[in-house]
Amino acid sequence: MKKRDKINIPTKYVIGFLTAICIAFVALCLVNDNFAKPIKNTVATVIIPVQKGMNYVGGWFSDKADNLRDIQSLQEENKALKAENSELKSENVILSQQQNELSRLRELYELDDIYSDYPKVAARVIGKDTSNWFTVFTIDKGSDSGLAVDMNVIADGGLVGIITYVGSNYAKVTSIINDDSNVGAKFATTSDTCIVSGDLKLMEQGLIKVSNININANVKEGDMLLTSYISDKFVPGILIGYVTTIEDDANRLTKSSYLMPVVDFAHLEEVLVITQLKENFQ
Amino acid sequence: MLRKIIYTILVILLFVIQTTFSGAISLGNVAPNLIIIIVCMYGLLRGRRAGMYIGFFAGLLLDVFFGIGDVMGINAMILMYIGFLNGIFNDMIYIKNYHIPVIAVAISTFAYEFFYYVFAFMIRNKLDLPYYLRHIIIPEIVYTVFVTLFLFKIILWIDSKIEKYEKRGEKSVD
Repeated sequence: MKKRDKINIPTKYVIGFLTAICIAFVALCLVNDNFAKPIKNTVATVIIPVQKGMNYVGGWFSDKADNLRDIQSLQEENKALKAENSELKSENVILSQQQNELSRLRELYELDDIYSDYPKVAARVIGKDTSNWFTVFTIDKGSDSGLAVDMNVIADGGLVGIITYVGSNYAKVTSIINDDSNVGAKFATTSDTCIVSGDLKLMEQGLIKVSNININANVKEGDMLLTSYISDKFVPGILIGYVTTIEDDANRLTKSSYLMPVVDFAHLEEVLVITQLKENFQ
Repeated sequence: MLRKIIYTILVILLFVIQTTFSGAISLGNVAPNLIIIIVCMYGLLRGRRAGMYIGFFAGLLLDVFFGIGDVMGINAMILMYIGFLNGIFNDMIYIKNYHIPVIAVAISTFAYEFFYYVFAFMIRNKLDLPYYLRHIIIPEIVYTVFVTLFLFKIILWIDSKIEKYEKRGEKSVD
């Protein structure tokens, strides 16, 4: 400490200087998105491997805990699954016949098969936002694996969110239940469009707000919502969830509702990233 | 130097725990704010300047991954002032019992969350502060204070070990 005393700058100057640095950071980030990228990448090369290791340890423990589960319940589950499997097999035969028919008919009508599989990359969730305000999380793949900003992320067959930042070895996903998220959606049955926006107040109940539904739209509780063509960032045709009670708005022009997402946001472990960007979508 | 290295590792460790295990440690969608605890404690134990540096560093770490609106610097600034203000009390009070750290962490968490609300929500015209107080800020304060009761002992223990080690070093030099 004695050595330090010789070049000691008063603390008030240091804190002033650091405050100026913080404000400069904020200003530069607002002006130029790429300004912080080198810093973020440098820090990420250190932190991401630690997070991955921690996840691995956590996963190992939960695996061990699962192994200790009652064998009998597993056997029962196995029996039920076998029964279900044989049912599904027979269903599958019928469905594949229908699929053949469908593709033949599509050829006849020269329809594009628009809902065909998007190219996907699997990734693992490695970290969640430290604050309790947002539902933002990081995944263990980044630009090195070909990911880019605005790619859609799905899990459990439903929309999870969108990539808002990519580092070289990680990417940040903003989920659709996040308070500042808005998704253009449409009803699967009637193609009426609406806007799905996350709200912190509804997060506890696991719901998302749906607004701007046309007052004349013939929609009802339990209808399916998909991402729409109108959205400039979300690729069309991804399932978002099912609407609950629908109410007329005070202005008598629109209706609003709540949406139950198909994704279980509290227990996300693995997600799929759709590498097809909307801007390149044909 | 040793102290700096150990506290850097501690901050990173708590950050990683908070990001990876937040699902496991959260109760009713609210996770404790471990970073605040270490910033607070370090400020109380080592003074203004040390608190300021650790707050700045920990805040930057948060900013890199989860900055408000992808902007760096806001968390760093809030946490830096929290560390600094806690440091002011360093030479005024005795901190080896529960009361002071608990009160300091409670006030600091409130301050941090309040400013977070201002920068992340109020700025977007989400003005229902009482709701957010009830559902996010106060539960988080309670949970963070609860964790402090355990973490504070561990941090004190680590600090006393480092102190002992440093003193031993001095003796051998003499």
